[in-house]
Amino acid sequence: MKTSLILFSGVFLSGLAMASDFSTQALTRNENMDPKIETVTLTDLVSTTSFDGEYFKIVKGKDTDAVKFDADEKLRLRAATTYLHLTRAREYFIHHVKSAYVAGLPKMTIRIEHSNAFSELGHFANDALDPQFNNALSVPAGTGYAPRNVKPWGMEIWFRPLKRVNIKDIQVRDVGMQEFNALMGNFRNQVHMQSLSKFLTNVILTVTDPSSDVQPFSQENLIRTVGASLMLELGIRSVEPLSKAVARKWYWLDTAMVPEIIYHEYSHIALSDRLVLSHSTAVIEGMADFFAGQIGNTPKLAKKIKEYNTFNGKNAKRKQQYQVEFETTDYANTDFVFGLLYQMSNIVGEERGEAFIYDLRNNITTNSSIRNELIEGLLKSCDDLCVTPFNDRLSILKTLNHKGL
Amino acid sequence: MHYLILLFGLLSMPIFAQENTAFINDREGSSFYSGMFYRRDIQDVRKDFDGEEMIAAHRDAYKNVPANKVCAYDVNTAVRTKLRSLNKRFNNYEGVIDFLRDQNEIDDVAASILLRANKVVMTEINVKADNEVGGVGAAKDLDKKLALITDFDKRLKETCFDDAYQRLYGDLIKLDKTSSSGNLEGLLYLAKKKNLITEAQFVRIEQGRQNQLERSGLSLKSYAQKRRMLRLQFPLRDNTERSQFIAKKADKVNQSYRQRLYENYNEVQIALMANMIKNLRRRLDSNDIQIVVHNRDQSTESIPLEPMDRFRFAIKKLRSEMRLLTLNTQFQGQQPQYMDLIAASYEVSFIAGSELEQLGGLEDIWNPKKSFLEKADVWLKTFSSVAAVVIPAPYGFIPTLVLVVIEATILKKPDGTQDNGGLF
Repeated sequence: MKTSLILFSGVFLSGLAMASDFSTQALTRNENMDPKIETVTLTDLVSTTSFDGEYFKIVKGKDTDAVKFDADEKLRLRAATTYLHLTRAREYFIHHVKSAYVAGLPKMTIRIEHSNAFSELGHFANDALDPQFNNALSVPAGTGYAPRNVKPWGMEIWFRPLKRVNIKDIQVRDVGMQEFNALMGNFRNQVHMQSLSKFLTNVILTVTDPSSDVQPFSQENLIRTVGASLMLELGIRSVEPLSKAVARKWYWLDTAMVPEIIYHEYSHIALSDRLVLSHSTAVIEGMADFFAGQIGNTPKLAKKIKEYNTFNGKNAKRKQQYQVEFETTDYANTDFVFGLLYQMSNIVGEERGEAFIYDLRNNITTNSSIRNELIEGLLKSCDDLCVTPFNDRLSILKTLNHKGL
Repeated sequence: MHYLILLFGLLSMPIFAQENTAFINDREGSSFYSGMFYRRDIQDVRKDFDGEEMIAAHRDAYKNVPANKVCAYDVNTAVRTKLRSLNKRFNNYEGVIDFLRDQNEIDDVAASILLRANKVVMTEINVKADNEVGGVGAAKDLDKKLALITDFDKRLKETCFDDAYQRLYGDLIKLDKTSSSGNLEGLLYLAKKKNLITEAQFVRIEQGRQNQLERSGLSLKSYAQKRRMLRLQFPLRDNTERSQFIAKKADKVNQSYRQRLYENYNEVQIALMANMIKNLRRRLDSNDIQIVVHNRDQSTESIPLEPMDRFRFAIKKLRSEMRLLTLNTQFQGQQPQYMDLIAASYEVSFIAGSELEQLGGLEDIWNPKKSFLEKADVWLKTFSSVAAVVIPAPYGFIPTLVLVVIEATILKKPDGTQDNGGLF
């Protein structure tokens, strides 16, 4: 009897600790990549009342307790969406990429609606210091600081609150706009030269042939010639104010509601066995983008979701030439490396492409540059994994050369 | 120095090596001649003969023929005679060659020589009126020139028809540098008129002339010799390897890359060209290329090249070597094309068949293929410039705008103004 009681108690207790499922609403994408809010089942929860799972605990801001299932709708939706997509991302790395590192990761705390800046010493920067909005970040584990009662923490992902920002307050580094400006500059030079050469031709005609009807210095001709250039100049100078006048005024990004951003941040965690979480560089952002695209099964990230993201998103298929500026932190979040890795995986082949890029992390570091270590890493990974290394290396080099590298 | 060693190696090979008169296909994938007629011809001859009969007839044609006597015209005659004895209705000899090629009994190079020989002897000669015949050229040495024609049959006894014809033409040029094919025609008609040659002799030489045999340097004998030398010096690492790429049509000629290689180059030239691609391949495969600066103060500075610089260095070095190759005495001013180098390298097994396409594609880097719009670019710019001047202000900007937009979108290319910091 005693034995039976102990056995029963054991089964009951282990039942309490077992993971359970919970159905709630979350944001997902349909087959056309359109966002939709639908009822989903969250798995591996260890709590029956909050978003506390076996692998992820979703908390609000600096809280230590998980968000309750009966929290307000907005918070619940964000908690459910992050939990759902983090679970998918984790499963992808464990079952698809076969990452032993991810399988062995301890439970992570995920912070949503969290505006504190990150401090390597104190975990959270002071509330009054530069609150953060419209982004997400993966933070490395810390040892804490006992004198200030800062406890050690594990790797975490922080999703910032949404904040509407006026276009005036955004420093835009739009490569497309730079190309447009270069194009218009070229056009302006050509038209001015054309007006000048026509005027000079008329003058020479008048000088060499006095009987000519051409009157280059007539008021009408001067107005026409100078007028064309003035009109053009006016047009070009008004392009920027006009585009600003018709462009979107307000921008925002609700990172906890964009599946590809959640995948991107988790990819940083999954790749952190080699690419340490220290700072943002073009190479590690591109790596995280690549796997976000693989998890989401799309070459486009954070697109078609205007309710939660009014920025451009990223597109791996966008044709882009390499610029030295892409190596700098300011350009770390452009989609150049994402597109480059996407092309490289296609060269190696659909079956091996993913494993190839995953292996790449062994041959690069967080500080790797695109033009040097990333390419060396690609070549090295190709030596290790390509079926026809010489051919594939050559194909990689030709593609990179074509991209202006 | 390397070239000399290579040359010495080739020349020092046993001259009386085991003769191999077989032209079995050991390099090409599907035939350059593959197509609708090719298949139809094969189907036709398969109705007349068993495959084994055709193969046996072809193999028998080389029996007891030393390699230095092998002749496409004799082979064709022997095969045709044998097959006719088996089936008197047989008349599609091209189908037999296609069949032999399809069965890899011969390769495209041998097939082209046999087909050309067949075409020559099948050419019907219609006698022209006197006023339609070309002149005999300079009157000087007319008797000697006619003697070349009357002695043609003596040459034929010593050598194959194509060789005999080319020697005849060569000797004619020696007598009179301004001689042309038209002059040979004039001489032929004159010799015939003077009854110096028979009708059959006239027809034979005229067939060669009409098929411009003087322009083709490759006979079955010379092909056998080149191939034998190369196989001895550079044994194939894989006898079963075949490449589809090498049988593709070369630019501006109705020949495959491999046919063009044997047609235009001798075995020494082929070996030299192959060596260049061997070097290119090694450089492309390298993970470390450095520039070493030896300073006057005895110190040295090593500058490792970035991966893309290594790639571009390898290509630029190849381009430089290609330019120098034309100065090599072995080439006598001949300018090998990049695809000739690739074909040569595959021929001697320096590169694998599977690498041909990728290596061949490198040419796009310095010689990119132009789209229709890129080719039309020069006209587009010309007309737009004229239109921009002709159309009065303020509308003159319209063609300029159109041109700029086209250039910036359709014709968009890296303009080199963006310095990416690379060395090469």
